[in-house]
Amino acid sequence: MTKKDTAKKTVAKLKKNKHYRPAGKKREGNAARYMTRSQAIKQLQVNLSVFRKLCILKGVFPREPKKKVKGNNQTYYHVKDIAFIQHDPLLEKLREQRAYQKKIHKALAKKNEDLATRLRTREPSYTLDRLIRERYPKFVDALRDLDDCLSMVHLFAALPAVERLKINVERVHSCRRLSHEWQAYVARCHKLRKVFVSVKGIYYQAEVEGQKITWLAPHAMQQVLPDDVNFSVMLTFVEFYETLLGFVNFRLYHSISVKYPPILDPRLEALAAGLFYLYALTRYMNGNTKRISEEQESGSTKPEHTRGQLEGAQFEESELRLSQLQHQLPSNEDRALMHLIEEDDDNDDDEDTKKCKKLFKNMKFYLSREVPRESLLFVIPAFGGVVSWEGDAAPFTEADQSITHQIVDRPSQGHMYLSREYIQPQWIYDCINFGVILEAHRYLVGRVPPPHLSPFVDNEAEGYFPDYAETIKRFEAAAKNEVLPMPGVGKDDLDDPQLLLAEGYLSRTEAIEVAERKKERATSEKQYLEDLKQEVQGHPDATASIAVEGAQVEEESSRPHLEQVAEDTDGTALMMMSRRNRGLFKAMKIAKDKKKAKVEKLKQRKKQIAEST
Amino acid sequence: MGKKPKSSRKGKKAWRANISTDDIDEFIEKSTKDALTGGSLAEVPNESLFFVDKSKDLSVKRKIEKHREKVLHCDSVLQRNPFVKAIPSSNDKKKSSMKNKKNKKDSTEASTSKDDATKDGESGIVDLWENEAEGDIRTRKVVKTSVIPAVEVDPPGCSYNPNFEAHQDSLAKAVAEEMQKVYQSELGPQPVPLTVQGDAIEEEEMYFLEVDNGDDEANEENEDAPEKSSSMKKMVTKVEFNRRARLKDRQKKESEAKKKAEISKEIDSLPTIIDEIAKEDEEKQKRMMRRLVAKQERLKQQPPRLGRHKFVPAPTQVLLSEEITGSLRKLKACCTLATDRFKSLEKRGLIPPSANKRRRKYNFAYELRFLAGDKVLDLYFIDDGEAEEAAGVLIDVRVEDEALRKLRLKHLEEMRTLAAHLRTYLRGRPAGNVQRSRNFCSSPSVNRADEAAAAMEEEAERKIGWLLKVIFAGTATAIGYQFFPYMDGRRMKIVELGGAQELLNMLEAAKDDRTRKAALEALAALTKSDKAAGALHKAGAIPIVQSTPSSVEEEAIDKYKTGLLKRFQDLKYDGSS
Repeated sequence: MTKKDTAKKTVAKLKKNKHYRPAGKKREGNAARYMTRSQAIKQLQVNLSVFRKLCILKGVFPREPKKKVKGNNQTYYHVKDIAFIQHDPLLEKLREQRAYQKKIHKALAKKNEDLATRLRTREPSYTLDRLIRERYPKFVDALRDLDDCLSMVHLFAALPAVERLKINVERVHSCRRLSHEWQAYVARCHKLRKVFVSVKGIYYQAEVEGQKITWLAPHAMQQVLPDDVNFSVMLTFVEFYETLLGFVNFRLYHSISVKYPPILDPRLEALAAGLFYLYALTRYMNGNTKRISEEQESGSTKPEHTRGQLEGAQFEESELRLSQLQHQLPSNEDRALMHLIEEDDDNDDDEDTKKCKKLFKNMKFYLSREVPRESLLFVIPAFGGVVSWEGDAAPFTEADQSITHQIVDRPSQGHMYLSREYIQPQWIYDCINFGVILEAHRYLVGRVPPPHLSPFVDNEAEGYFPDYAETIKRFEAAAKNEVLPMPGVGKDDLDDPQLLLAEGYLSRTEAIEVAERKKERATSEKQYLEDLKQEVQGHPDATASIAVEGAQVEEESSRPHLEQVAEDTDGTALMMMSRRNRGLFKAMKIAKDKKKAKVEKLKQRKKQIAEST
Repeated sequence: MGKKPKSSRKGKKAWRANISTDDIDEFIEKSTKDALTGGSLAEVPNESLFFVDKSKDLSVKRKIEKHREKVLHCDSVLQRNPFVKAIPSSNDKKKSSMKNKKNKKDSTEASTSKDDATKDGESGIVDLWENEAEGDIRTRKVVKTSVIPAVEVDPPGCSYNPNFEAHQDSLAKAVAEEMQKVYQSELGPQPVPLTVQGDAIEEEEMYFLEVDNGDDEANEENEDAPEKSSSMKKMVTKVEFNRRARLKDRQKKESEAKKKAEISKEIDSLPTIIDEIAKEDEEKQKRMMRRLVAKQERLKQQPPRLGRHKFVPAPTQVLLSEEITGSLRKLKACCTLATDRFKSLEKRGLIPPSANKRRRKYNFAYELRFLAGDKVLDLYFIDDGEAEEAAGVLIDVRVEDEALRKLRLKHLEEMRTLAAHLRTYLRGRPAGNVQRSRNFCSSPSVNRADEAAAAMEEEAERKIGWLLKVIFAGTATAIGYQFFPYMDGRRMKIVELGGAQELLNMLEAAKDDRTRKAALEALAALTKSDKAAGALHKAGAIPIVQSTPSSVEEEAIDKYKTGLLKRFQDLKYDGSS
């Protein structure tokens, strides 16, 4: 190769590499893909607070690059994320707002009050509709991301309005309204599934359109605004979430053919600002849906109408009805309310919803002054109960004879009606979580109620049942008149072929072994059944534990040789598996062992405690 | 040259010379100039000075027009064929068309939205997801930032009326967290003291001290240097030179031979080397896997490091055993849900964690408010007498419970400062009140705080069984043990509390390697103290340790085991005895 050739080649190389950079100054990899926050701010030409706001609204969050080029204590953003922000019209809008603010400041500084007020009336504003549409292209996406939204809105509904932190009254009120609207929907459609009262607050779980939505609402008490919380960030989140929840509520209300935003009974409207907004809302919704269902009925009786005519007629008719209803309701509201709630439209409800709807059916609750009213007003109607309270605008008074349960939380109750049960609020939550009406005697006034167990723990998966859960389970089974599988065995993975498949070693020997175990289980179950019968006939408490223990002992005795067999088969199966699967299998085993060890530890501890006391 | 004789300045000549005639000269010059040019310009009206040029600059216009008329070659080529429509090369047409479209769209949108508004009342809210099935929305794939759920449900022990075992678990965890913090602050490096004890050195002396030091070093260097140089400069004879060359040669040959032998040896042992490499590779792979898994686990607990500050989780909110009443009314719930939500945002990596801000200004009223919890006592607006009363009520009623809660939250110091503040606050009152305020403030409140501390310790001791397990077998191991080498007293305390026995029991009963490893690790840390080792020996540690099965996966077990046994041997405790 001549010298000329090599020279040509290097030139060609240079030409081919269009963006040539000298060594050490190459912009590729992490250096090119990520930028620090200050770089981003410089690129977007906004200040830090606006940048923070933009990031939150657009859903752009900091990333952690593999290699932090600019140092370890920097916040990094993806270059494409920043470009995404840069192309949003919102950026321009915010800049405009800032310029406008400057104008106002200037007018104020020049003591030109007129101009300042005039300017303030025409301040540019922005809407977040487009951003919500962009971030949640489908309704399901929005529902999936609703947990945080609901928790935040519920929190701000309980915060005090503080000028220093820019938490203004309108924001708190709108949060309150939105949260109540959501609760009204959930209660009306009986979508609530679980409630857990913890120290932090009350956890609720609802199932809306197949999505499990969990949120945390604060206890009804003064909330403290701590210093280490950046409230401007929180407020930006809330601003976004408010809009989101508004749209979600709109959609949900329309799905059950209720107008949104709701128009309330004028009498209740006055009270609606306070605690009873929820109640007003539920009534409104009930009234509305009833009206619509009636219309549907009337529509079906007159099939000769064309669709357009029908709609027109319906509109007028509904207006009339509404006014009638509003007149009618206050006079005999008890009956009307009962009627509204009883009225069924369960053609498209799933099984859970049906169950939830019937839980507190035909029950009438009365809340005393000292119980957490807001929570109970939401929860009881969600499970089909009728509720009233001590105070203004209550639908019925304490003297009402048809009240079946009065909820109190005081050491002793003075005057008692014999026709009703006086119970503590925990009874409601426990009933909901276990899905049955529990015996009230454990929750009577002045007693220490049984432990409030978390419904969010899957006992079967954990393999450990707390005492109270077990008693409730037995109670439940007795109520349903059916026999449970034995405690200790639980729903073992024998019957579940999928699980076995997942384990990946369903061999012939295994199958035989499974059959064996099933047989054994059948015999022990038979014995258990007999024990249970005895229990039902004779002394319930004493024999139960003995029977259970006996069953367990037998279980354990039958275990070892089976385990031996299982191990043998494992060995052969392990050889057949791929390395990856083997690893997975081992991991599974370890997890199982851990769980077992934990359960054993808990049992041991319980035994120790029992011995010591 | 001689000097000119100085003339008098008072004479007529001198006067004349000193008067300036510039302005007169200027005026004359100007007037003559005006006269010559035909009047001054300042007095002439604008119309006579300027005129509007209405003529057309033809050349420029032609140039512009020509430029406009110019058709691009590509366009002209296309124009010739009537069937092909030209695509405009410049995009101004596009822009205008877009603008039109936009306008139209806006108008339609406005009309539709108006329709909707009329339909749905005055709110102007529309169904955003009305036509989601059409799929015309421009969307971006959203990157899920973390695996942590938005709302994490507390463990069952945090219930307001928890199950006993679950509560013990949660409490143990909370205590362990707090203890860990205490250890960290106790055993961490001490801050540099601001003042040092000792006599002050006078300025002059200091000067001398420094000078002396410098001199010494310099002298030493000077002494050393000449010797070296003299030895280096020694003459080398030819004989010596040759001898050195030969020696060098020989050494070189020898080393070569050695190398060859080594290589041949290595070639012989090739299979073992290959084995070793394989082993190493496997180990590496294992380590990589372990790290990967560990990272995934960590991500479930904590966000990645996103900024300058590390994420600090909020303390677990759990009731103390005394606080469980079973009544929802008497529940002392956490009233700082805002912190919880904010921490959740940080934990999910939505915002970079911020610094743990300390309160800069001590706000007495705020503190009182905080203490009062649900019974808000606002001291801003009440007069002195009422304030005092309120403070008394606070101290009498709330301090005890709050002290317990605060202790859990590591606020003992704050409690003390608060008590002190209360004292000073009330002492600052007019003289008549002092006596009364002292009665309920000075001694009782402090005593209460101490009592509370004692109660806390008792509680901790009661939970020590679980605590030990949590600290030893759980996540705290790594942090706890880095500090233990410095703490003999603490070790003994653990042994005294039955921790050693607990550990041995744990080791004996352990079924998986990880527990064993943790227990051994803890034991190894304990035996660093001689006394603790003695106690362990008495508890029968040696046979238990010896009987611990070694494991393939955890090499550390073997290491700890041998280390422990060696330690016992060093201390002359026989395995047989």
